[in-house]
Amino acid sequence: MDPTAPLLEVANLSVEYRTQRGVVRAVGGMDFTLAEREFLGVVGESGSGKSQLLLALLGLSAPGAAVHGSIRYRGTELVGAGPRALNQLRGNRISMVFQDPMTALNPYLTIGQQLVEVLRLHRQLSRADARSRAAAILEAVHISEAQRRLKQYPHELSGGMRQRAMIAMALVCEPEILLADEPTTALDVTVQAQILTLLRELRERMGTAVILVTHDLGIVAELADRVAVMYAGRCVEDADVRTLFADGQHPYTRALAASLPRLEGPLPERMFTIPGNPPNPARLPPGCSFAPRCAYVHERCLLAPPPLTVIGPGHRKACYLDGLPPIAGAP
Amino acid sequence: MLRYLLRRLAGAVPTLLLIATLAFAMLHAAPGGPFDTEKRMLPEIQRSIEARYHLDEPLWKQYGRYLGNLARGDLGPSYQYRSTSVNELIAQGFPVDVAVGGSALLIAVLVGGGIGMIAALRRNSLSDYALMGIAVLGISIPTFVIGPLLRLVFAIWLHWLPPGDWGGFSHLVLPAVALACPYTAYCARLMRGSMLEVLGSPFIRTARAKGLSQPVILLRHALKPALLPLVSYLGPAIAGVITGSIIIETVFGLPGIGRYFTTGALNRDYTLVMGITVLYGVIIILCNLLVDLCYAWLDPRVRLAR
Amino acid sequence: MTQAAASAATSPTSAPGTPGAAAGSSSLWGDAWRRLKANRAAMAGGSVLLLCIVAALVLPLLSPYDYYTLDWNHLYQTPALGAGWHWLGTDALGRDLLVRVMWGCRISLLVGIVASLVTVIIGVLWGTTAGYVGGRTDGLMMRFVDVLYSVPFIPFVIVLMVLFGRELLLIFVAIGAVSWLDIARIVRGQTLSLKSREFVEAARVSGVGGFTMILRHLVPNLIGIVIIYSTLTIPTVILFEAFLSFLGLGVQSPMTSLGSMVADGTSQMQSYPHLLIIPALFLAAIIYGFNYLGDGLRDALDPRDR
Repeated sequence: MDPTAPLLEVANLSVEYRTQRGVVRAVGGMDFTLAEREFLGVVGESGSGKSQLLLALLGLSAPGAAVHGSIRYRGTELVGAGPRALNQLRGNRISMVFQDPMTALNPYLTIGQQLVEVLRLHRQLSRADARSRAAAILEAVHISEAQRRLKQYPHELSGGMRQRAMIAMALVCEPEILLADEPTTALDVTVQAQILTLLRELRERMGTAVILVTHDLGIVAELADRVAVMYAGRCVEDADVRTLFADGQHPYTRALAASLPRLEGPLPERMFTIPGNPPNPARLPPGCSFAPRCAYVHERCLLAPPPLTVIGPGHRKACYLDGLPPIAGAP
Repeated sequence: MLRYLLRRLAGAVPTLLLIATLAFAMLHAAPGGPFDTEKRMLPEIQRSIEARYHLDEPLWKQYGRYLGNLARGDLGPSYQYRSTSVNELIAQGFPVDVAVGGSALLIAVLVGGGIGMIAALRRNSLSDYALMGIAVLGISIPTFVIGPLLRLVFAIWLHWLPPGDWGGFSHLVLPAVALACPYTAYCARLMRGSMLEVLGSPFIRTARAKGLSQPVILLRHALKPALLPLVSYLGPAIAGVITGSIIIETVFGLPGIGRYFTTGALNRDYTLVMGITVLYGVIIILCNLLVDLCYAWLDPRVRLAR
Repeated sequence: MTQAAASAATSPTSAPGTPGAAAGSSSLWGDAWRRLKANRAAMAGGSVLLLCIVAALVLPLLSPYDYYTLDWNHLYQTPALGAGWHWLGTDALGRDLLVRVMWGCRISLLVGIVASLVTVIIGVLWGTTAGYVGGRTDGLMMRFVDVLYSVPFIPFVIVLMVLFGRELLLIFVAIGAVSWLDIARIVRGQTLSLKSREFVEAARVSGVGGFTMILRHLVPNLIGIVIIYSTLTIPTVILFEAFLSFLGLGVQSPMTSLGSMVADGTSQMQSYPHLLIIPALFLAAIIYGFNYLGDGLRDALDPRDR
């Protein structure tokens, strides 16, 4: 592991499954890098492959998955790495927070047990030291009465507290990268806001880089430094957050931005929606995956999928279309 | 927890009453009496015997007497073995049943659970199919075939173990193994299914994401939830072991209660049969209660709800 | 950018094109049948069963022998293929083994299927009534089930059979009385969950009778459960009948079942193994068949997987 190498480099990553009905491509040809302390938001609809992307990063894809391409963490290749090497990184240098804390936590073990085991595994602490560290991290995520909570089981905590506990578990060893798979989707809106604030605060304190996957553009707008937009398993555009919202160049990005209801301005008659449905990952069209729904589709778009090309500093898109005007009324 | 216990025990009383009543009713409703099979007796002797055992009283009176004795724990005298009471007979035979039945259940859980776990870990491999195939075999071959078969092979041909009777540890092995077979098979299937289900749970994925190794995940995270269906199964398994012991005792000539039961039924030994039936009922109720307590202890969501 | 006059909102959680929806029909039964066909073990089990049934029905008609005629000249013959010979040998009384085994299959299958169907029907009726009516009635009905759970059935059945003779009908009743409890519980659970889900909404919104709504949703589920549980209960029933035969309480001679033949064969195991092995093989095949088929049906029809 090379401390001077970039934090995370993903090149041509694809995840495929063999099913009875053919090969399903969940993720295809993803390319991106993550810098230290960077907050990357990955946006997409359900089925766009964003969760599968996160799982592949930690080697947690389902048993039948074929993962190709390259994932380099500080220079070390993770694709094809053995379980022992991966286990040293998981929970330690790269952690993950899952969507539904009720099912993601083991209902048969106490919070304390689930926290302590991470500490004792990666930091070789004594039981007593691990317990005090566990209590400390619970307080850091604003769970009151930490000592009491350590002895409780997940079902005795509220939804928001459970998610905090899971975040605590992920951050207790101070990893360099935190992967968050829709961490607020299963929570109430008010609790969502608290969790997001917590994530921002912790990230600033610990300097963790974050990859947060969500379908909610609002979250991304608030927290991310950079955004990657995924569609049908591919990245169709990535840019820093301001540029993406002000000057998104991919028709899908535009459509997503336009789908957000606006607080200012007159109320439209109907809410804008993107016509059609996302494609079936088992039967992807030969050309650009978005072509069937795109308002600007050309013949060229149906022949081959467009490559991701740089169109500005830190701004790439996968589209044959040349230049769309900036979005009117963008912040 | 205590309140739950008391509630369950209180609920057990009507059940026991039902069992006792059913036993009483059935035996007295059947044609023939307990002394019919013996050689003809002079009427006076017959009457005096009947008086001694209160068989000349009206049925409801006998029933009342029976229940009264039951409440005191007195199961009455045996009709077959005139000088012994049912309590004494049970006291002699019961330890045998406990030893054989208990060992059988232990084998079933440990071996069956182990097999099931291995099969789950090697899902859809050759070993999985082979292990599960053997498991079905354990269920398909009746105990009264496995028993004599084992006895033939290990006792008569190989002389490794004694063919029957009761004495020391070596006398326990064959009967316990024979009795355990179907339950081992069932435990194996249960364990495989439940282990597969647990391993597919989201919290196992979280455990992997924390960097825990596979053995640790299995033992610390997966084992307890996977065991729960097995624990639930123990209730009916105990009932099955009881009835299975009837066969095993016959095959291996063990001095246990099961044998008394069948001979008692054939010889119209009312008190013995009723006494053993009530005993079986008590055992089943107690064991079910124990199993429920175990389950509650294992699953924190149930435990804290009490 | 053109504004699309769209009808439905494309919410961020719009349903992705699932790989399954595109290919073929996805009706409840079509889907289940396809899954069953893909399960090789289940198909193998089912074929074996079919073979046994056909053989049991057809072979006795083709053979020159019947199952009850004694032939003192040909006792204990070993199996020998060839025209005019006893293909599977003869038994202790010179009766042709092939025909007897086929009759045994018939009787075992008959007992198994009829008794399980009766069991399942009782269980389903009990469970749906309890679940649908709810309230105090439900509580009472399920308490009854709980009480019955603790009754040691098998001893009772033994006593019943000893006292009241060995009618085939009695065997059905006895066996049926044992297994309906589980099914009643499961069906009641399903009815309850359905009731709370659909009934309230439907009755309030559409004015369609709640009862009709429940039937429409309940019946497909119920048929699935009935099929699955029947298939899994049959082996238990067949084995129980074998157990009764072992105790001398099964079907009466000269009629025979696989269980009786196995029980008799066990005593002759050392000298004439074919008397045990052949019926035991058929018994195992039938039980294997039902087990694998039942498992396959459960996997194919399990509502949980939807």
